[in-house]
Amino acid sequence: MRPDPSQKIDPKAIPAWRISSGLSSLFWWILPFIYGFIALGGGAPNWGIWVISGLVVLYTALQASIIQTIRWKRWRYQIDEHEIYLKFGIFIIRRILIPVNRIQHVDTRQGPILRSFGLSSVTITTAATTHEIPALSDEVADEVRNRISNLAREADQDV
Amino acid sequence: MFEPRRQHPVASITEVLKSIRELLIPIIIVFIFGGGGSGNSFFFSPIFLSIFISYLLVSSILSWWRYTFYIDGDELRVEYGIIVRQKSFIPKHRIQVINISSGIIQRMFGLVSLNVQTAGGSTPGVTISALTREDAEELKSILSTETETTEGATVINEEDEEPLYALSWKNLIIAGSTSASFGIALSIIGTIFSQMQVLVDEDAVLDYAETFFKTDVNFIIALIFTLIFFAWLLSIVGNILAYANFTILKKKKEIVIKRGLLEKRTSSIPYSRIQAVRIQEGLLRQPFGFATIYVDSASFGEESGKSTVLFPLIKKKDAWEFIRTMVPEYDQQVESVRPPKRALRRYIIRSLIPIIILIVALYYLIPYGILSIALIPVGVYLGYLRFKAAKIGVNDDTVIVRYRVLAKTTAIVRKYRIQAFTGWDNWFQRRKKLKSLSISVASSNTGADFLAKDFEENYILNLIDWGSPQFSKPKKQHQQSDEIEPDITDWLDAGI
Repeated sequence: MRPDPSQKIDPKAIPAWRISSGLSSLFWWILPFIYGFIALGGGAPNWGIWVISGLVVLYTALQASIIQTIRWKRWRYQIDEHEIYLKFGIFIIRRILIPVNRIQHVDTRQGPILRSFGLSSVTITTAATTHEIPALSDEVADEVRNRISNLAREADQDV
Repeated sequence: MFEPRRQHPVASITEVLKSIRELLIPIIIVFIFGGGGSGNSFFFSPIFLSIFISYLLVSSILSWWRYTFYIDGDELRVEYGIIVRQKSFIPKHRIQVINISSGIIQRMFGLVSLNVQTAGGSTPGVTISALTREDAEELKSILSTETETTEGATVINEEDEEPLYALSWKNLIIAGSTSASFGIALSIIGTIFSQMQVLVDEDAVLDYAETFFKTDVNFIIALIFTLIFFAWLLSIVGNILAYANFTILKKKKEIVIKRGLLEKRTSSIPYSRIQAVRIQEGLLRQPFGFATIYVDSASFGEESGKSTVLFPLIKKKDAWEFIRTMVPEYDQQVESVRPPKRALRRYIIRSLIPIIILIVALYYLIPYGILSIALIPVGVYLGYLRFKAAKIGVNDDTVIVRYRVLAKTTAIVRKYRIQAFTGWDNWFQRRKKLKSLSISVASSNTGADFLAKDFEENYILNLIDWGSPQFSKPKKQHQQSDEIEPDITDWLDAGI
């Protein structure tokens, strides 16, 4: 059986993800407000608002802390001349194998949060799917992108 | 062909129709909601209407005038656009499918439309909407891969070739009456029906409903049956329109499909573009031993998100013979496994979850909704059917996956066509040492995934290994749960 992919992603991913996931989890803070409106109208008991607020705050707290550490620990990737192999996930663990000769193009991307940590993510696109290696340091990301793109160019170019 | 040229002027008529079709939803909205109050007259005023109609006419004539196409070397070049000039250059080797079709308008003038589909990029191919059949055939023979070998020396005369398979009228009717579009038609009629009630005066509806519920249960039942009957007729008619005169013929490098009653369509599918072959046994077709054969080809186009029907209705026992004849590359023998017994519970739970959500929703939303609890055994049975259908097997360079959503699908995929393998497990699966696998192939613009859920952990890991281009056959793990089925015809076995 194939061993787990050998490379880990950049440890700076943890603080970067804590910020980005923490921020996006704030979206769910809308739930207590919606519940509040319903409760005001007498449609639901008042104590529910404390339960929902508690859950939402807990969710943000987890997203801004331990979850990102686990996520980083689980993330592995490996690139060799025939295929790209990824393994990641917290509750659902995925293993993805992408034959190099199926790759259509490779991008590196960087949002404001990743940029402030000097990180980029690499996006790999095939004719059917898109995959991402998140949070590599800029240099590694460029290297990975060039490497995949060279490997893919050598391979046969048909769909 | 090598000089820039325009389409037949009839193209401007099809352009008008296309604009109207694109504006159909706004037009309907204006028509329905514009009626609110007295201020609706603006949209129906002669000034607005004449501006609107002349805009349609002028823009279609201009767009016809601006649309030119020609062949330059190995490329089809199309230039179009009124305000923004656009140029599409389509290299021959990027072309996936060439369709020649003729709608009612084209046929009135003895013309056809030619549609060229490509893979990759974001452009959905080009359609030359009116040209003579000779020009279309010439373009097609220049652009299709077929000519690479014949090098223009032989003129292919399609009339001389006997179709290998043709759909009989009897099977066409059967296809229509067992089609899944039956369900869609039913929901459309249902929606129209419910909308009609809204349009009618509300008091009248209430009165109507009162008498309706009090007096006659038989009437309701009769009404429901009439609805179903009309939906059924609609789906038969739809199938006849789409698949009448269906014939398929085989050429050296491509398959040619002709079909259609009012709108005649000819599609060529080059063998080199086929990504996967699927045999689908619909819920209504399976009991009668019928299946539909699809091919997935990497093309962008009007039927995006749908795979091409290779044959609409075929006896299950003839399906492999059909594949052997038409797409011999997909006639493969594999050794297969089924999910282990301990996966059955997960299959049942997965089928039950949406049903339980539905029951809860019905319970809150409609009176006597709780009666929908009777759906639970249906869910359990569906889970069992899905479990029985699940099967996957490989040989050196082919994988066959069978799974059921509602219809049972057997997908045959060549290894070199697979875009990605995704194996996954969640916490519950890890406890039971089960894994799922998804095999992605290019199909239309989104791609298609073939799923094998809750199989033996080791087998899935071996399959991922097999997916690597440097490996061939995965080591067979002989376990109690494995059922080895070397005979390929078993894939379409008579069982559930």
